[in-house]
Amino acid sequence: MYEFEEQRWRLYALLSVIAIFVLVLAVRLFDIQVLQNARYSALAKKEHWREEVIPARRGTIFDASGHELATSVEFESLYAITNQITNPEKIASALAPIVNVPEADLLARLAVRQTAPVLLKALVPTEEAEAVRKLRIGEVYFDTTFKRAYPEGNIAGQLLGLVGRDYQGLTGIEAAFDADLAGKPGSLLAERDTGGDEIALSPSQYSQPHDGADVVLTIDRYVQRVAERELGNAVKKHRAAGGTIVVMEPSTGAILAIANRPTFAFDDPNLFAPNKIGLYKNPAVADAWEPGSIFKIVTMAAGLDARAVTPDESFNNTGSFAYAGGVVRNVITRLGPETMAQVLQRSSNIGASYVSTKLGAERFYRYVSAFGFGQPTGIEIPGEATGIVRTPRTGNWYPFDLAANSFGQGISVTPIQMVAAVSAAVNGGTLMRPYVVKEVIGKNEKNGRRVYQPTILRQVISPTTSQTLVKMLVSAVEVVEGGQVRMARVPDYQVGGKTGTAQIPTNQGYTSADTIASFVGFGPADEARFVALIKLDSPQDSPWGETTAAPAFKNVAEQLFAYMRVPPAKAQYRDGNLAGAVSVTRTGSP
Amino acid sequence: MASSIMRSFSMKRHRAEVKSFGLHAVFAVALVVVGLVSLLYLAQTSVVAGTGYDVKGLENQKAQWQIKNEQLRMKIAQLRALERVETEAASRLKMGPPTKVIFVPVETQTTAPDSRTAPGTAAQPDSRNVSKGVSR
Repeated sequence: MYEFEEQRWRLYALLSVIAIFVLVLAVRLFDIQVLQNARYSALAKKEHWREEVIPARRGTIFDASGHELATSVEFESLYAITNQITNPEKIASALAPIVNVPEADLLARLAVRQTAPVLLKALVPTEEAEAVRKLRIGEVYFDTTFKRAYPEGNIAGQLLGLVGRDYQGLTGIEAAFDADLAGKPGSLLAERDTGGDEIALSPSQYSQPHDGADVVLTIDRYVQRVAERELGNAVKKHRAAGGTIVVMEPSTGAILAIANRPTFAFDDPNLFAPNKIGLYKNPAVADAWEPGSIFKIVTMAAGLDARAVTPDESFNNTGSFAYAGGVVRNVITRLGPETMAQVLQRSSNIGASYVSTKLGAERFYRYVSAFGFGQPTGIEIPGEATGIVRTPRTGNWYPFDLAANSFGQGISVTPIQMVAAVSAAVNGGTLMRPYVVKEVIGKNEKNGRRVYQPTILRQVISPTTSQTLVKMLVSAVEVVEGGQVRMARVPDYQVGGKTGTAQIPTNQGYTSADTIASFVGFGPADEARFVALIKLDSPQDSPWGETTAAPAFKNVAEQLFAYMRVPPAKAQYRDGNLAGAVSVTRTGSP
Repeated sequence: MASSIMRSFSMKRHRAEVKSFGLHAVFAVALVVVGLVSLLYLAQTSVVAGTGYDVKGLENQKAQWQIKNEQLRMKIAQLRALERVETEAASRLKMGPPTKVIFVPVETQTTAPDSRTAPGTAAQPDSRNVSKGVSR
């Protein structure tokens, strides 16, 4: 009896322990399932459900004829889950010959034991990826990424601009049209299996990515390549510090080419190094310089249009021109009467000062402003400078500036402003807004595309003045002075233009050590298809625009005539016969 | 009396047995049906899951083909690049810059011949296309 009672007691004790244990479990279960339900639900969801961002394809930048200049290409990158790898040597030796990575490098990466994936090779070509898949190595996998690619190579770098590592536009067109090009990424929220793959046909939330729009530029890849090549050759030949070529269609304002030196290469592995930041901007729009004698085109256009001077009008060149406490002199002294046509032919500073002072400050600066100087052109490229134009109204202006500005001193302009102004001077007098984007093609656009039309800003000079000026500028290239054929002259074609040799201002006045040599010209003369500005910074073998920039213009023009299928000039333009618009004096033989 | 009581008890027992058998049969049939439905569901789920993974595999293949397509498109663009064409022309085809450009006049007549034009006389070519044999 006593024994039975003892067994009973033990049974009760055991039951009590079990009951307490069950109670503890029940309490804990209640705590987890009820009280901490939200937390554990979230943890479980995080474990089984994962949201994956699906990147949108960045739009392509095309040239005017539909060739890809910058595009996005999808590539696969090879990763390894190293903490699951038991035999890294075997995997490294199998992968190395396929992915063309040294076995030792792969082994070093595979030896890193971590839960996060380890990158073995980025941007694996499809052939290599297929070969790796055939190995069926469970611990390695591919992930897709987009890469910005440049099929035409390193051309128009500063115009196209850069995209950062986060695939966002940083400079140039990439930055200016980032909202269009970037698109909108999508997402996939889905239940995943233990391998992290989406469980097929399980409930999921999918948001489709919207690919970025394509941007079509007015740039012509052939013209761009010609500009890049000729600028590179000129910079090298004349040992210049840098330079710029801008080519524009004067009738529309469409930019056909923008090339700069120095520039960056898209395939430079150190592209984002701090010392490269200075190369990111586009000097054709962001840098202003004192243009020197090419500005005489603007001065002469203003003088002719305001009827302050006529092409045949002459003044007596005494070798110097005193005005407002200053003295203007020519680089090469030729004394005696000089016509307005000869002012351009001989690049006479005195003649230009004669025109601007005859015009007066008010009219001169009104024309300077009407030609677009001192204000942004509105081109789509970011970082545009306005240049500096001091006038009697802005202050800090001296009366002598009227004379100095007439030949491009004491005034600063950007290459794009200069090209736009000369285009207006030779296209019948209409200032067109320079533009570099022709259209944006995307699903968000009305009718699928947003077209950028040529924009007329204003009529600056009359068509008659423009025609007269064209003939004077043709004579500035055609007329032979001192037995020297002008170096911008293109055989069998009629081109017009003007050289510039600008001194560089410093805090102590103008330096005599360096110059900025330039030439701005157009062709063909009867109906200009292009205006091209060539600017060379600090050429070392010769300071003159005539011997450095003008030959580069000739090379560009020759190639553009052939490319644009422009037939040789009409007979009436040959041998300096300018249909009587200006009197041309031959002082040498061709 | 006793026999009638016995008969009545036997009938009740028989009815109870029949009733019990019926319940057992229904339970068995239900069990079989539930089993069959479960099996069917399991089979269907397996098939669906299998098909799902097949679809996923095909989607992966499609993505890989799209990547291959993109890379081929890039390769085509690179082959069409001016620099590459120039290099090929110069190195493989031994071509060089043209030394002579000839503009061939093309006589285009867009309107009906004027009755005043003498028969057999050609229309004047566009002056922009006149030059011949221009050497550069």
